[in-house]
Amino acid sequence: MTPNREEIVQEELMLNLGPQHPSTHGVFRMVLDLQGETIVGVTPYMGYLHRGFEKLAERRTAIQYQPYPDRWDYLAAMFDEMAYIGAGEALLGIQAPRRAQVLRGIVMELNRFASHLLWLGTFLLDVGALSPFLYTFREREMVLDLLMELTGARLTYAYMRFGGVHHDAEDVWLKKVRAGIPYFRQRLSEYRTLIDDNEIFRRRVEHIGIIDGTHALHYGLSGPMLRASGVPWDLRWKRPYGIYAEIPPRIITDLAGDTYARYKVRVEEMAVSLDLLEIFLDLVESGPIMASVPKVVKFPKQETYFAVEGPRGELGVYLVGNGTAYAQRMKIRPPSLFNLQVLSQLLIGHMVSDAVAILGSIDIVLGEVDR
Amino acid sequence: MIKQSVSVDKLIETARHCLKEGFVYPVLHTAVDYETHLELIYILRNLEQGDDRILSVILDANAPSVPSLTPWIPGLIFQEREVYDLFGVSYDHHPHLTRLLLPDKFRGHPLRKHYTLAEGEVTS
Repeated sequence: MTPNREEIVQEELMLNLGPQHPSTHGVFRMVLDLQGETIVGVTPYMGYLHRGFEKLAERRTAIQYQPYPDRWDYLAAMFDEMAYIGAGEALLGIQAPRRAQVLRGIVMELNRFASHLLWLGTFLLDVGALSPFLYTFREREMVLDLLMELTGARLTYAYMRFGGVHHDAEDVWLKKVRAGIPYFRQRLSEYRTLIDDNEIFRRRVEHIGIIDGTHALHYGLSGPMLRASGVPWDLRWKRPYGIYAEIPPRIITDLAGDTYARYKVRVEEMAVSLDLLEIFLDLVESGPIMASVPKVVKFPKQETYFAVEGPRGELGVYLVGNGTAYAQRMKIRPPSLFNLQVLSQLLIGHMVSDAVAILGSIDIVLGEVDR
Repeated sequence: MIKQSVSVDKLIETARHCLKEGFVYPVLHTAVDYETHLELIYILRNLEQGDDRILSVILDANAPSVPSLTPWIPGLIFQEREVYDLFGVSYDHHPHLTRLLLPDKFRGHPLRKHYTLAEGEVTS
């Protein structure tokens, strides 16, 4: 005898995802409430990678703290350095010489390209495509080799200093970067041929995880998340810092606001990064790489907010000085943390398999979320 | 960037006024501990004009409490939780005021200047 439909008891199932789950990109944990396969509730948990970087900034002198920002967002360390150094330079009234500004631009765009390559590989891994991961990591390794040749490290560069950069770039290195650009461009278009119109991929990512521009604004989303919802906001040109003030704006937006739009925005940004690299390489001119900076740096009793456009969005530092070598307060604005705020809106109503794709499209780095 | 000092009772009113003027984008919210008092910082942005506005609220260092702005600025949900977690500021009418980064059983608020390590041992 088959039971009546009414008699079948339906219960909500609680599913724990993470913190040691490959699709959560680090140590992010979320608890999903499921009705069948459909998500009806999301509770995110974070903090597993909290290392107290804001407190450390109060217990280390400004100079001592310079290598720490590398550890916030370890996939795009140059941007963290730039945010901290930029805020410090604003407080101290130091300006880096032009060659250093151009070199900063070059390493940041290289780093953005490397970070987006890692995202592209892991995002496709999330939706079930295994091989792109291998290819994007091959290219990423080449970018990291370039950065290693310049700075001596693959991920934690400690390259920027108050008033400039630590190592000068040899002409050979600049030539290598220039030679690499056409290769990367060709690879990028190869990926796009394989992925953009792939039917399986598009059916996995189109029309899911939609967020409209107004919501995106009110939740403080930034970076590709915001631009994929149709808001043309990119700090590189809306709040130009360093060498970006001289570059004509190229802000990539998309109106759809879904997971596929976020994919497209990021991939197109990779192409923009390569174009910017070429422009920056033309701007390199000889000169000093460090301004004159006092041996003991003391932050004056002032406060400042300085932000850069990182691969994940607006990465800012709010720095309060108190007249000593230590900061009174250093607050990081982590773009991934703001972007995670809309997670439950994005996920509710979708299937579990979509949850992995949507989370992948937010592009979180837990080192930065937890700090 | 204009910094505007606001008293605790005028905070909601001022924030709503800022929203009406187009400062809808929450850039950052944090606290600064000056030991004698706490200063809360809200940075709001108007994306059309590209302006930032800073609201500063001075709070009593001993029992800091402030109304939550999350009903009007939903982008502050995690930020207010973070300040509660690390500074111990309590936000009235916050939808889900729990620790964001530290374990729930953690004692103390480590970004306060008087915080010592012994105070913050995790109790099981």
